[in-house]
Amino acid sequence: MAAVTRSVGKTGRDYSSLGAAIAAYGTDFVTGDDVTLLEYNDDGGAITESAITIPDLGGVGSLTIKPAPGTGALGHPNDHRTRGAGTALRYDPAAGVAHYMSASFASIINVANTSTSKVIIEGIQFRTTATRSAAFTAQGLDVGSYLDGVITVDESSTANNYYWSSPANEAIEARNCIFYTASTDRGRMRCAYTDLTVSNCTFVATAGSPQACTSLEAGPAASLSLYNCVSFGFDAVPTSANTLSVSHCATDLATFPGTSNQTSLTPGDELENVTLASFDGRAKSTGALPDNASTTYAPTLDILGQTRDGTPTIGAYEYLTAGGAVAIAGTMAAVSAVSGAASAARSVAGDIVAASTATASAGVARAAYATLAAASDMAGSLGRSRAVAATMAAISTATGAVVRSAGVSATMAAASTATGALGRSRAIASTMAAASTLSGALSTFAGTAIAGTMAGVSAMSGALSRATSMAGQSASSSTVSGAIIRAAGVAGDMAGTASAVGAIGVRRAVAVVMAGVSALSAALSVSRPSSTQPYITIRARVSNRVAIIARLFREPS
Amino acid sequence: MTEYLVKRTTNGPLPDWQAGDVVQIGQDGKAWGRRESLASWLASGGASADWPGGFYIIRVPDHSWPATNAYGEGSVSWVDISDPDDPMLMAQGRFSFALSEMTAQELDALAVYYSLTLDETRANALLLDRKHGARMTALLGA
Repeated sequence: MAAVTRSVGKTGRDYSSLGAAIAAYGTDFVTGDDVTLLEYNDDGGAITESAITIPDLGGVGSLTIKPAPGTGALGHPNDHRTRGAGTALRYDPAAGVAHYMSASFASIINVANTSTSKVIIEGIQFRTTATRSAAFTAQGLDVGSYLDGVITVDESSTANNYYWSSPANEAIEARNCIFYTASTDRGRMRCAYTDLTVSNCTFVATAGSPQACTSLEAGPAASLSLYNCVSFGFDAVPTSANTLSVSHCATDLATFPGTSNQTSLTPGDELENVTLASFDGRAKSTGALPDNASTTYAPTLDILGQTRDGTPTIGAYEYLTAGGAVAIAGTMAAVSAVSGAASAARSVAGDIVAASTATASAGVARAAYATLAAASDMAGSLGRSRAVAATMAAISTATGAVVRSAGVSATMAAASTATGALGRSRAIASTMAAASTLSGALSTFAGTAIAGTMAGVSAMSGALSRATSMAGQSASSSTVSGAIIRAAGVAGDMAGTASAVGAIGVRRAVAVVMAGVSALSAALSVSRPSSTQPYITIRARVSNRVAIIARLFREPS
Repeated sequence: MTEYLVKRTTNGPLPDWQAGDVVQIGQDGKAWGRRESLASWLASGGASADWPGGFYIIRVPDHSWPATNAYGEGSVSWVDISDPDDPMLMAQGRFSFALSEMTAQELDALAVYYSLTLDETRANALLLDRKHGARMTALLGA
């Protein structure tokens, strides 16, 4: 059993359609393999498909279909879940990979009920337009199969049901999905012989269903669990011939099975738009969806990768108050941007990949908790704790006012820059790689401006106050300049060609080794000279070719 | 012109893919994936020895795109409507080229280039529509 990854898209990919990729079973890869299809949104348009049948994987291999990180050939995002909370939440090929089928009496994704196939679909959009068409007729799913962050729209008034089902009571899931349909005589998801858990999904029948249709229906031996889901436009409740567990759902019906549900709602008061043409699945702040879901069953992240707060929203979308939890909790793809006010907890809790930008005020905790990849920028006011808690890759920049705790508590790679006011504790707690720069006012009451290593050709300038400016090592060709007050200007080693300039106050200017060709210049002021040793300027070993040019003061006796 | 992405090998009994089945169609000039077309594979720097060889590209210049676009609408071969409330039973490979009836010259071209150009008459004679159980020649009255 091999792990196989293939690309799907319209420009220079392994396969030009999902159907062709899956038809490659038997030649390019076999049914025992763990196959991952990474999809690219190369032109912002949907990939036209025929009905696709996933072969029987025999309970051994798996098939994962998800967007590739980043963008397609023309810069369109691959993953619709990165569209941001300010954009309408609906099927949109420009926002992410999408598949379209015009065939009738067919489903885009099919898994025969004689199969045992583990299928995972994340972050993909599907659209059908013809009679008795649907996104999924997957009846032979194996344990561990799930849908996450999927959006489907079926535009025919006679669109069909879905099947997301296992023939052998296997545990499968659907979460953070949006399913909206114009069908007037079919419900949505059906299952049979399945232990199906559906959490934080949004089901909407835009035209209403005059017949007795349900949002969910479980067959003879099925166990159906439905938590934190929206069900609008259907005229019957979910049912199960076996066990049914429902809670914290929202419906326009007067009654709904289970507990803690919001009933008799007006869909237009709850979602931004419930029409087919202008659908928008975001919850309204004024409705009953926010704060009424159960934390027990809510996935940590919503359909847009936002971290759900302590009182989650019913449905796929988490409504966050301005300045709530996390602006971005997942991965920011290359050339992404986050701007505006992001307060409270984290602004970006995940990875920011190359050439990404996070600007504006980020309050309280971490502004960027994870990795800032190469050529990334983070500017603006970074409050409270860490501005950057993890790795800043090469050519990264962190500017603006950084207050309170650690400005940069991790590694700054080569050619990185941290400027602006860095307050309180450590400005930089770890390694500054070669050609790194740290400038601006570093005010510390008790902490360390730089507690780690400054690599070659690094520079630290500006006002360095209070405790230790440099507590670690300053490598060759490093520079420490500006006003260094109070305790040790440089408490560690200064390697060859290192320099420490400016006003160096109080105690030690350089507390340890100054290597060859090092320079220590400018005013060195000390306090409390003793009668026998009035001047404590350099309490260290001075090696060859070290120059000391300064005015040495002492208090008058 | 229409280009057909054709399955080279049989995966299993129907409804699984059969050799000759049309998997996808494209308008002339379609940028096939590098693992769909040998030409794309080689152009992307792939070694001929490593070509997975799962598909042929069959070109039919006389097949106009709007007409043959319908060939791509589902691979539905038949529909089981015994219970209207059940999902439809679908099969793949509605359209299929009869590879076994190709001439030696045609098969040689496929073996070397994994592609072939056919005129309309020849294409219709080889192209089976399983839904109607007949060759396109018969269905089109040609």
